[in-house]
Amino acid sequence: MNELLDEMEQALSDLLQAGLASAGPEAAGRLRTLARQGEQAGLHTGAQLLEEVAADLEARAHRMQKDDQALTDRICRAGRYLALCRQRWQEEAIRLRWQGRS
Amino acid sequence: MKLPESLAAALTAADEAYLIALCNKGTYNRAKKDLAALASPPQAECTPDGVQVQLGQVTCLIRAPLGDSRCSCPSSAVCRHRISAILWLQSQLEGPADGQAPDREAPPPQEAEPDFPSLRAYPPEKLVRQLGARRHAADLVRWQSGQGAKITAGGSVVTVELPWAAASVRLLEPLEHSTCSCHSKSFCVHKAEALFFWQLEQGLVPAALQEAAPAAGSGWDPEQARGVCQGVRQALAAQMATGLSRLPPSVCDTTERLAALCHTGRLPRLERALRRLQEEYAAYFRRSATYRDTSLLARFGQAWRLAQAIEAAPEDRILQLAGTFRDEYRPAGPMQLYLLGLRQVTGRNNSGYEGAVYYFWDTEGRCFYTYSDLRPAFYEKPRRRSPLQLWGMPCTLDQAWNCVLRLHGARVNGEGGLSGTSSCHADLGQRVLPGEILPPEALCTDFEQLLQKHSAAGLPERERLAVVRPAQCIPQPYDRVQQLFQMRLLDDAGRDLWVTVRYDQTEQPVIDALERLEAGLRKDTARMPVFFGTVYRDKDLLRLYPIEYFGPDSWQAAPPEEECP
Repeated sequence: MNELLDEMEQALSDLLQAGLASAGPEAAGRLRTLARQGEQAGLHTGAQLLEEVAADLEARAHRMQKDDQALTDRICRAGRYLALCRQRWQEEAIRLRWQGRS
Repeated sequence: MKLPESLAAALTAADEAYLIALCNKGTYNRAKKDLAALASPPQAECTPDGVQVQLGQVTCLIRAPLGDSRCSCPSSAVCRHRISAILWLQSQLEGPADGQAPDREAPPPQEAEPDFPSLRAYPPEKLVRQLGARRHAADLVRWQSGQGAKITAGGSVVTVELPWAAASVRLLEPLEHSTCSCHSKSFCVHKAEALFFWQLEQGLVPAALQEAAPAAGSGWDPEQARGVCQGVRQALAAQMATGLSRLPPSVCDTTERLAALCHTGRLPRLERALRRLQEEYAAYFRRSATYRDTSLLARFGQAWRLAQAIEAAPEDRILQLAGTFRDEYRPAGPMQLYLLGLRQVTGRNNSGYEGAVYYFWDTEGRCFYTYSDLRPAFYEKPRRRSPLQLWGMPCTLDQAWNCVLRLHGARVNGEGGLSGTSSCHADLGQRVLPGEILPPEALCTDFEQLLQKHSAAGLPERERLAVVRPAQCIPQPYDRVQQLFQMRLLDDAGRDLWVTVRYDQTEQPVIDALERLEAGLRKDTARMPVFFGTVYRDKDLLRLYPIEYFGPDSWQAAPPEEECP
């Protein structure tokens, strides 16, 4: 789970690094892959958020009027979701580690 | 003589206390003497406005309510002539024909307790507006802590003492004739406070007004605030669209300008969020080894979400989201504190402020308080200042380390921060080892408790403070990749807690101290230190940032050795 959260977070960070204008179709594809993995891991809300970001990213390339605020909002919501998941996961992971089952 | 009914009722209801409250005791006594000394009895004539009473060369017009009476003398306040006329009219009602004041020593006939309808009818919402948010909040704290106004209800007068304002108010029926020791003719703030406390005592204040609302201050414009937030979001969206790799270093200046705009727009929380974002940008551009993409994403998201929330918030919520520049400090009464440790703060750690934070243990409340000696470092390094002396102590605060301080007149804010106000003074006690001050239950030896109670990400720092005694302390090699100094602590059940300091130039003294501790532990593994610090989670590790550590000898005095038989 930690690795999946790390990858999702890294994907969003990479988007912040590259920028929405330069992200390219690979970024949307990567987000869709992570959304599928999230869905399989039980992170349904996260999967939906990433899917929406991917869809907006792809649609952005074909629009004259770029609505960057809406896309930025989705990215920040996804980031917040990941942070909350991580908090919850961290508590369990620490306990599992203490119990020697990690 | 037949008096109008309303005037007769007002005269009957007005006892000595009421008449004294209208003027003062000296004026009342002088009026009695003047009445007794009159050469000829007064002459009275009923008019549509009231009763005109001739007392020698002075003419008084007495009407209900009695405070509205007039006199031909120059005095604008209730004068001795008016009181004499009132006393004479009362005697006419009671019967004596010689014009002398009736015997006030005799107990008056039993009357029903006055109801004070105008005091009850005064809207509490209007009172709260007249008090202002700051005074309202302070009065609520006084009321809730039992240190509110002293209220004495005696007959037709309610006397309210306000010790913090050195004022005394007499509330009368009707309200507009109430008097205050500040001699204000209008409805002064003391009268408003007095009435507020009386209404609280009578249970007339609704629950919603018994909670302090955040103070907007004058000139706060919600529309301007929303406009600022909109501008912030536009700028942040533009940064996201461009991407960090294509942003020029001037993005740091742009973000700092946005923070300054929020400061002017009275949005302190958003200002702090933007300053933290600006620090991340600055760390990226100077290629700091401690920069992390994920940290930038988190701070970007915090600033964005806050701007969005403020822009969309309704009127009653927008002030809470905007935050306050300085928290209100409220009276906390006498306190007994113990200075446990201090932490140097750099701009990176504290959104543009530098200085030191002092940590105190409250021996009675059994909780932590802090004092922050911080100065802004946005534009230039704070100048070197002389060592901090507070609360009239004979030494600096650093020198009071591990001493008991008895504070009188302390003030604290909602986050457990102590005020450095000059109205507070501290008596310096002797130096005591911390183990003799902190109770055993304050010392954490079970790391599961730390995980549950002190480590959640959203908790304020004060709630993440912990004093920890490990069962084992295992030094770790320095992590050159992440530049981390670490020590692994174990409790009795084998759960671990990692003492962690991320290398930074300002953290070098901390790392040096911990390395000396490590060296000592290698020589003597039995003498476990006690750590004081803030707890946090990092992936699957529970970590502690150490503020202070105490060796066995500096934690508690060793028990005396038993004498050999």
